[in-house]
Amino acid sequence: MNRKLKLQALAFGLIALPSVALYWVDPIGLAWGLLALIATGMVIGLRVS
Amino acid sequence: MLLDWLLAVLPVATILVLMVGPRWGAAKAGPAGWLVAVLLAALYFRAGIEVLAAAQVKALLLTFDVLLIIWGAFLLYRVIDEAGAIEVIGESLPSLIKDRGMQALLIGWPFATFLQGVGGFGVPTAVTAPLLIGLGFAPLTAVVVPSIGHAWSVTFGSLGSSFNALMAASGLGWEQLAAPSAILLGLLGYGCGIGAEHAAQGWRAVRRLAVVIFILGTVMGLTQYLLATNGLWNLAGFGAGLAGMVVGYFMAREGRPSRALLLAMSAYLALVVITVIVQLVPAVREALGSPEIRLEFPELSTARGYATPAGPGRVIPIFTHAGALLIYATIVAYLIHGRAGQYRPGAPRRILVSTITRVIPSSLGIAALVSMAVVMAHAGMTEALAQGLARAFAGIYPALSPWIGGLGAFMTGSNTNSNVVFGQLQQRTAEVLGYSVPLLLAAQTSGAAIISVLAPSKVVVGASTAGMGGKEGIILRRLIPYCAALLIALSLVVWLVAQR
Repeated sequence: MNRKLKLQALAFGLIALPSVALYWVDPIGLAWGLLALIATGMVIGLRVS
Repeated sequence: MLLDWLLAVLPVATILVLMVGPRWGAAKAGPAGWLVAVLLAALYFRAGIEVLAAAQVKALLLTFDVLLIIWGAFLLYRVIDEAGAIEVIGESLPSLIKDRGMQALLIGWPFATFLQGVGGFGVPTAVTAPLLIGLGFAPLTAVVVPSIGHAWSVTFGSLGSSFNALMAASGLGWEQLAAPSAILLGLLGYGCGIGAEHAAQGWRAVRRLAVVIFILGTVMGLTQYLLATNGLWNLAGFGAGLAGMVVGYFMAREGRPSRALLLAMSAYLALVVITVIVQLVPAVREALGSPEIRLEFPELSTARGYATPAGPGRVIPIFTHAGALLIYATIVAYLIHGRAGQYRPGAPRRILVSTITRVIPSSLGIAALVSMAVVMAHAGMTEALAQGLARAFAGIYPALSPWIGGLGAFMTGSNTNSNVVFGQLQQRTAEVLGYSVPLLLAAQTSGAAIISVLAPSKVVVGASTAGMGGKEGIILRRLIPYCAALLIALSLVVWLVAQR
């Protein structure tokens, strides 16, 4: 797998895994943190695709 | 109110501008659309963290639901292709049929439909264009014929992934959506047959083969309708293509199918048997149906008062999902071709690597687009869009509906993505205006199917396989009149039916 695909896979993971975690998270601060992780995944996806 | 509408349209406009202007792919433009949607949802439409978090979890469920089929479909296709079966199917057809008009028609229409049914992702044009060039057709013709020919089967193609996305986005089942979608697409099928033959050999050939086109269109349209409306929607595109190939063969045959062709088709037969058993045998369905992914969500409200009712997100039955059926068929296919000694050393690795390489960018794009669409729906942005469209186009909205689907397909590169982005919008607008929701969702997916063949990403695939890289504009110009004619006819039919 080339570097671009690895980064795209990382971006997908950063979107998917925190999205799963969001279902079980109660404290609001933690939820914002997970949303920030998802946003990071989106930005990586945008930059490398 | 106008400001609400303008801001609600901004994420969609962002994707449109980025994909059409600088030609960004869905994996690049999708995240941009999501970022715009989340910022607007939080800052202007005042969706709190609870709404944004729940929307994101629901989006992941939808994403997983759509991706299971895409991953499974491509894995199955690669397992069969690696054994050389796709090549055998493609090479066998010309030797069985000598008439050039019939060759173009059968390869560019039923065979391209069949390939869309089992593979999708540009596979119909990628496989058939070199075949047609080999038969002596000009490269431009070789790309245009299958591009038009398979358009009608995109929704139920890729083993129903676009239709599944329509169900996922709207929350409606196949019981409501299959009939109107199959009827509209079935009618478009005749137009695709006429268009494909016209692109190959002109009006003279269309007149000469009019009866054949009518019979094949009827057989394929009816097969698609019967499969889709009996719960076998994942086989509807594939079954239609297969029925068209069999009937076309008997109408034009000048030889007998070889053992190699029958072996090449065996994996698809296995898929049919597995799907029929799981979908239609209650004992099997019950035995496999119990483990499912199901998450419950409370009622969610934005600070502006837009509420989403409580309920589960997308429910995913793990072992009876269409994606799981594809995995079962993939295992059977691998065993069949393996026993026949058709794999060279290193095949499993090549299959896996090519599948992963192919699905990662589309997975990222779909995750971003689905997330954007679900955030928009939960923040009340889709509602604002629907209200604006309903006010502006109240009388003619049904005629506009296929064009919105088409716009989505053109800008996102796929029927699936268009259904994800615009499915809920079309649904809400239909509800606000009092039109039939299944009809307008069928119009959405039909318009998206036709226009998806114009999407830059698909045109690039066709151009590259026909040795026309860099001449995509020429292909696009040749395709546009056919797609426009089909879309105008579709608009007229939808508008007339909606008036009843």
